[in-house]
Amino acid sequence: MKRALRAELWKAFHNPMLWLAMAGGAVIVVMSVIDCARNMAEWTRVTGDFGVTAPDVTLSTEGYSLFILSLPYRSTTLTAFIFYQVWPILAAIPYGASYMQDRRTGVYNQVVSRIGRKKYYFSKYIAVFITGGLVVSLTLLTGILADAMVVPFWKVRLQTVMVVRNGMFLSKLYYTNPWLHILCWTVVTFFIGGCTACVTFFAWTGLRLQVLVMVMPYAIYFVVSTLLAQLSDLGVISSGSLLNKLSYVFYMPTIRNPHFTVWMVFGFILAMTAATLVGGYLQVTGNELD
Amino acid sequence: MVIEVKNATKKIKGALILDRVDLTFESGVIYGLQGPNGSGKTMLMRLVSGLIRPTEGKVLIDGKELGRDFDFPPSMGLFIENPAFLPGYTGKRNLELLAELQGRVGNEEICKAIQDVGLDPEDRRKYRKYSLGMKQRLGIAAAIMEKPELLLLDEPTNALDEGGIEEICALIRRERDRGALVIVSCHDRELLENLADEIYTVAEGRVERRAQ
Repeated sequence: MKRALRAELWKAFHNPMLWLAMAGGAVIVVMSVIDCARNMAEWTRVTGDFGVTAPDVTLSTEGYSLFILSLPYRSTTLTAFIFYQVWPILAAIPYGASYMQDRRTGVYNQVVSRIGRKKYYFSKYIAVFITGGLVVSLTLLTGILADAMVVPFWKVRLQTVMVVRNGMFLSKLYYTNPWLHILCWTVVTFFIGGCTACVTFFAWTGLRLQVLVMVMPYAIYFVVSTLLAQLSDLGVISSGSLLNKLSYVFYMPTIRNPHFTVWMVFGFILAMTAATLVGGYLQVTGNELD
Repeated sequence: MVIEVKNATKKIKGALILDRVDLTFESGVIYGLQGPNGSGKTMLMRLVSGLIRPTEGKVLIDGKELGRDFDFPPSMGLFIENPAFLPGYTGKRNLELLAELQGRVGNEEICKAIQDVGLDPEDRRKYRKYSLGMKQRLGIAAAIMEKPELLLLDEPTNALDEGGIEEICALIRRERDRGALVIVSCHDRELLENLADEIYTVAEGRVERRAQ
């Protein structure tokens, strides 16, 4: 398994698609910095120095902080909108289509005849998971670090800003140690991106177009979100139910998603990992028995 | 090594691909499979390799059942359908990646396999730049580099010129002399008659031994 995994990771990290996805993430990061700079400029124009000075405890409102303005905390800017639209695709681009490619080119036969189907599958799964998770989490992390160049990173004191409210994922940590909060969220995003990338294992092996495999996680999340939101609007599912919360699956990596509490986030990761692991395994081995 | 195919039938989506095949293969012999396109030659190879399982019947390797006791023959070199490599790497790097999976052979054996098929191990061209004949040769190098006990070659001489065909035939004979069990499928009856020790004719999923 160690050898198979090493070879698979080598291929994954030398795959140009990984660097293409990283470049896509970098574009989002640059857009985010421009967004932040424009917001800061506007804010200081309106409020003078207030926007860039330390928060005054006597005031009932705060100046802009990195932990309010940066990519993971915002959902209203164009950059954030784009990121939350494309993150499932970003996760799938690096190595999501590699299994299909192996099948199509015949590399699959060469590898499984040497190491067996199980080792092939698990090493491939880990490589897809790691690369998918890495691209999404690195985009968020470098996004916030780059935004820190133009926005002061004061701790947020007042819950009135409504970015992270009580009960939301790691909300306490956000107000006490925001950098640790970001780090934790980056790890969580890594797992969300990883299990999302592995949705590509569900792709039908007869699929010829690589791009369709990469779009698959996006399409699934989009259909699920839209369907559940519609059912919720029609009153078929109640507003407080789990299904209603799942209609926000599309916006999973946003820290300020109020629908995803700690148990929802970990439950989602566990359920998706289990589903993709088992589903992918059946898909990979089931195809041999045709 | 002894491979026994016992009453093996393969159906795919209701179509009969292999029909009650009974065969025995032994080490140190080149077996030829001859038949027209779609006759079931490749499917028989895939069956012996463990890539597919029979719908009925079984394949035994040294008395152990393929698919039950193990997934694949323990020492096998495979060249089925088309040469299969990653287009963005050199031929040698592709072989290294495959060899690393088992760790049985190192740089020396890989270079020798590449030279044996008439390619240059130092060639820096990416696989995608290879000609059809070069791709074919590299596919054969991948199959032989680990000195397997079982060698399955499906149409190994496709896209090769006359000189290339001679080289590959000599290489296959050397593998047989080393003690490998070699199964070769080919359209070309004359070529197979020159190369194989035993020839089987495959037609509509039925396999029959041809008198030589």
